[in-house]
Amino acid sequence: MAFINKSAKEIQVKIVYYGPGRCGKTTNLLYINQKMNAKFMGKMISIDTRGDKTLFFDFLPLSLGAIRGFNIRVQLYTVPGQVLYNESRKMVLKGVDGVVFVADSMEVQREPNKESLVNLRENLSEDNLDLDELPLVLQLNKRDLEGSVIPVLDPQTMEEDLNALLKNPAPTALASAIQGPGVFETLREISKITIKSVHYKLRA
Amino acid sequence: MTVQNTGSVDIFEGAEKIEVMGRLPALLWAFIDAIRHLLDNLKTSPGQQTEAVHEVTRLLDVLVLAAHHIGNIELKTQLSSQAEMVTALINGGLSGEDFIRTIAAELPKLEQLAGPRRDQAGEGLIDKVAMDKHVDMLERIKSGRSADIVVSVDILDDVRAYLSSEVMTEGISSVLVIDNAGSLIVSIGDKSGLDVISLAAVAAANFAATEQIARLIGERDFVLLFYKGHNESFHFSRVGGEYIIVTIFNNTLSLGLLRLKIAEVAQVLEKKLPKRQG
Repeated sequence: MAFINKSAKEIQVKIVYYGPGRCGKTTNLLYINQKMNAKFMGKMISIDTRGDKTLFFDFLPLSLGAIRGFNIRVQLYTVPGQVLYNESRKMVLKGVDGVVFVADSMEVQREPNKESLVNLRENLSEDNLDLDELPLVLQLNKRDLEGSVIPVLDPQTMEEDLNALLKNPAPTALASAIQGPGVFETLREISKITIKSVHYKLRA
Repeated sequence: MTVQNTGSVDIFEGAEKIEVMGRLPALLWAFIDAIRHLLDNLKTSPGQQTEAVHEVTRLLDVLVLAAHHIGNIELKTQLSSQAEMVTALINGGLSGEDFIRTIAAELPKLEQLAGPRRDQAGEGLIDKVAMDKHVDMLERIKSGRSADIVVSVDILDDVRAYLSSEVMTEGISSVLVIDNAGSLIVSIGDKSGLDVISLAAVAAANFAATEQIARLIGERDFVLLFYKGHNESFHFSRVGGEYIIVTIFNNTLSLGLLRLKIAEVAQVLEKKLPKRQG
């Protein structure tokens, strides 16, 4: 449900970072906020418990060039991952155009990852959105833990796990949000496919 | 955020473990660096390494706890042998030279447990300052589930009795005291079917959201919020810097009267309830 303003020649799209608690959604936004040129970026708003868990959402507006003379403004949101905050998640998901599903690579989070993806599908369906129709990128986060004392899942297993819950396999990005690799790749991929789908709707 | 005895559930249960696990390799590398720093100090200026030892023991304490959290036996053994050596060095049971020799043999094992190093490029969010923050946070987890606010049973009983006698009158159906993080501290009232745990979480989120609105117009926060319903209304008011008092009342009660009462109660509660620690 992108917001297209024909008089200002502007398209606003909403991208939500979704995933289980503690998987690094806010860290993704923090990294983008830290590394991107401030010229193309608004102020990051974070509603959390003293820089800790996200209580409601984080919000970061970006502008990403233009297509067909329309300026593209992207609003990045995160949701609170903790199971309890489902109502807040539903609110943030309203009118979403694209989703980045941030999966936690730690072995202990294998089930929470799947549960969160199922929860995403449920919450979208309440807003009459179909996960299989929505632009989606899977980000396998915390790859920096690979080879350390903490057991991690291999990317293939994670992809199989998550894609088994989807009709079409989604593009995947390996990332380590705390150190940076993969964060911009994910953002680029989701922006690309989201804008493509908005563009498609625009023509229709 | 709150240790309490009201029979409520821990809404972030298990989150600490995930947190600790995610940060462990970075902490291990910080520890290895601290040991190296200590070794350098021992070699160049023996007898002047109090600061370096302090840093090592600080990280060691946190790591031992983390190893305990995740239940990795290999790491536990490794760390306890390191701890013994450091204690021996402090007590004078181990000379500086012996310490250098024994620990140099142990370091590669730790490095292996820490996995490939990825923070050297200096690109990431983990720098010295961030690392200090992580250590502080994990140190707090040490004493159970972060004891930021500890409200004793006596205080809870006192607050509950005070609210029951002073606030609950005709027209008010429920009064909740919650903290900024959405934990329920006290709930009294007779409104049936009210999900107080969720209400506390959503109310805190709502307060935090309006705080952001306040910042956008240059205010620090809004100290009072009021939502009018068709039959029942909500009143939120800040109590000190940490707590929020939520009142649910029906429309027979006048808002002005309630505001007066709550303003008075907020002052009393601020004195009764403990401040955040640390």
